[in-house]
Amino acid sequence: MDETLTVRALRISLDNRPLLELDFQVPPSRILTIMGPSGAGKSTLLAWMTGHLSPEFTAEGRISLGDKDLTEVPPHLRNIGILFQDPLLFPHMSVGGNIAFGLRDPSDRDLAVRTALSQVDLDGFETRDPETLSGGQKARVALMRALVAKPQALLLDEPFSKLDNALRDTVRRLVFDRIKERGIPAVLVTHDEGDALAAGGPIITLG
Amino acid sequence: MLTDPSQNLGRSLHIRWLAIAVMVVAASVLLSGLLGVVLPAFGIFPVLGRTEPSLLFLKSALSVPGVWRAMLLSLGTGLLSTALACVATLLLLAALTRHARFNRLLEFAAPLLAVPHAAAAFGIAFVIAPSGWAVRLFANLAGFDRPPDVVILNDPFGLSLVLGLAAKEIPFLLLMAVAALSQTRPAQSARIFSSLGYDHVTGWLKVIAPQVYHRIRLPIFAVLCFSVSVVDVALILGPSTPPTLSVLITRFMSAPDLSERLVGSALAVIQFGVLLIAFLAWLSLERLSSLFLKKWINSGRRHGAQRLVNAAVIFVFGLMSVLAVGIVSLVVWSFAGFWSFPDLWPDQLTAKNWTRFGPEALAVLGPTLAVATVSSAVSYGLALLLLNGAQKFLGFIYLALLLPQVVFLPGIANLMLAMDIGASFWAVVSVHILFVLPYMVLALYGPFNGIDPRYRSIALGLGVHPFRVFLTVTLPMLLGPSLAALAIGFAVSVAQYLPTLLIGAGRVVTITTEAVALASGGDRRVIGLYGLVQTLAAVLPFGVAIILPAVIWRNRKGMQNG
Repeated sequence: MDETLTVRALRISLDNRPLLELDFQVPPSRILTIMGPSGAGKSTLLAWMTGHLSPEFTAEGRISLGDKDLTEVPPHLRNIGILFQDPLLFPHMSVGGNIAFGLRDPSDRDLAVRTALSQVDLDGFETRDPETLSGGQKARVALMRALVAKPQALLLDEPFSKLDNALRDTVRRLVFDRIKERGIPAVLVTHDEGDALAAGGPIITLG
Repeated sequence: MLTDPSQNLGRSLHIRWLAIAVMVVAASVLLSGLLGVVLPAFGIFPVLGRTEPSLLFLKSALSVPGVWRAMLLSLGTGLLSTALACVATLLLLAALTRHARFNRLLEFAAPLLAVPHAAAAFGIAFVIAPSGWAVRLFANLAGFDRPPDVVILNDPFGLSLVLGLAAKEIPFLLLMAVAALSQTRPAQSARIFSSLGYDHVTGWLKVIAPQVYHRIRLPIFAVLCFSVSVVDVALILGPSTPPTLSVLITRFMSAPDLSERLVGSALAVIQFGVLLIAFLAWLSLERLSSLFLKKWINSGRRHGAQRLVNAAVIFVFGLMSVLAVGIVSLVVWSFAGFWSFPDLWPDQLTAKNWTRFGPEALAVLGPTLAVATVSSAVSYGLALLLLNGAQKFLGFIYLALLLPQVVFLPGIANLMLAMDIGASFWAVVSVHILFVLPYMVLALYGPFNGIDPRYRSIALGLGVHPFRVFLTVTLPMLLGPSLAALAIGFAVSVAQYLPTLLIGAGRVVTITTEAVALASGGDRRVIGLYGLVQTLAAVLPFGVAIILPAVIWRNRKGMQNG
């Protein structure tokens, strides 16, 4: 834990045209914000960081957490969690099932699920169908699903963009507080200046 | 930006090579089947001690009585039924897409699609035969009491065969066209052409139909290939003196005298030539129609297609009604006692036919279900393997649908003979897989690729192994489509006639081979019973595929739409 997330000499190209070039470091508990217009390569950057870059892109550069180089590590062994703009709760699982899916130690599953839900004021929601939750509740479950896996870094791909203003502030605060509490580095991709300011970290603007 | 996460599974489990190996094996079997026909056609058949090439058997094939007419029949009925099905499908869609309940109407197409070709042909025969239900109805209205002495069934021009083929191909093309329709943004196009003053039908035919046609060309060519070379439907509805070329080939290939297979193989090579001519003819028809249609599209006429579309709607609903009534007639005949002409209903309904012939039908139902279960289960596994590991090369898997069965199956039978491989359950299953697998891939391709790749990204980001992600995220999300694909695979296997006949060689028989064999006997009660059992075997799994996901996901709203 408490490792710095580093991206070194990253250069991503599409059809031999350079799309983005980046170099950055994110210390633990800090949130780096990446801003830029559509097509600037923000989501492409996150796809590369999680190991899911589409084959039509070519990428050079290294990614590491602390002194562990992750560049060639398969996605499931990188220990980098991700939140998208849609909560994307697994529709065939209960709320509890979604949370439990991320648990690395299934020995005390029920207790871990209850604790996680209680941290986001969703006590008693274990057996609920995700589809019956409100947008804010879904976002909170998605956050806890990501956090129970104890990621060493968290990537946020416009996770607040579909929430209304009132909810947006609450969920944003919840997410940023949890990141700081866990002491993990995070990268936030957003169009919204309010998100960037609330994150309180450095900002890189692409394009 | 996100890669197709299936590639992660491919990379991490080395399944890409396995998937490519499956594809290579399937393509090799098809190609060896072709080789197994071409070599004997040119006189090389070591089993009979023939090792020198010769044109003798091709010449013999061309002098088989009625062969030229058989070729013309195959070509004509294949082209006509495909054209009819294709045009009717597009015109029907033009009419139906303006209705809000369009999707509900389509729900009727799926069960009709599941009815095996042979059972559908029996049903249609029971309706349109001179003593069938349609004529009985007419006889009651017109007041005659003997079946008319006219050739309706097995007519020399193959018209009843054309109708039978079209009745089965329209539901197939309709479902393919609807899948393609969703990719053409029909609602936006409709708003634009309406604002330009086009009525719905004319605008749809001018703007959307060409896009849909372009997207369903592969299924259309598969339909053409099937129609030019079909055996079971041609045996039931087609002419017999001479029959179509495919029926002629089957007769030669099933003859006890092995030397007949040399002529049969030569006829299969000729059948391949007929298929190529059919493809060329279709391409020419496309060119011609495109010239005509371009003129019409650019004419600026905003109305005028309504009458044509109305005629198509009447034709299709009429044909589908004949098919549906035909299936009902299978039930009635299977319970019919004495039934004199022109009565619309039997004098009595009895279980006697079932007590007499039911045990025999049930005896062959066992192997039928066993072959269908194993071939659809194995094909399901292979389809998932191919979708995960080799999507770029899926085209090879459709080869089995674009090559006539009657061309390469005799070759496989010849090779089995040459290699001293006897007919067995596993041989039949292996050949069924060749035909079940492409339909499974077709059925699963859309749903598999339709799963938001971010689900798999999230799951992998949680540190879960790709294989577990596949088992616990991808597969449950695919439950509905998987069961539908298994039902389709099951129905395809149950309906296979020629593969079971040629590869099973009488040692493995199914309800379909038995039902078609009974066709020549003409006992409608037995045929009705076998046709009904065959239909139920193919259709019931669709019921399971609809009900099971609804029960399993009754508490999961997000899973209730597929």
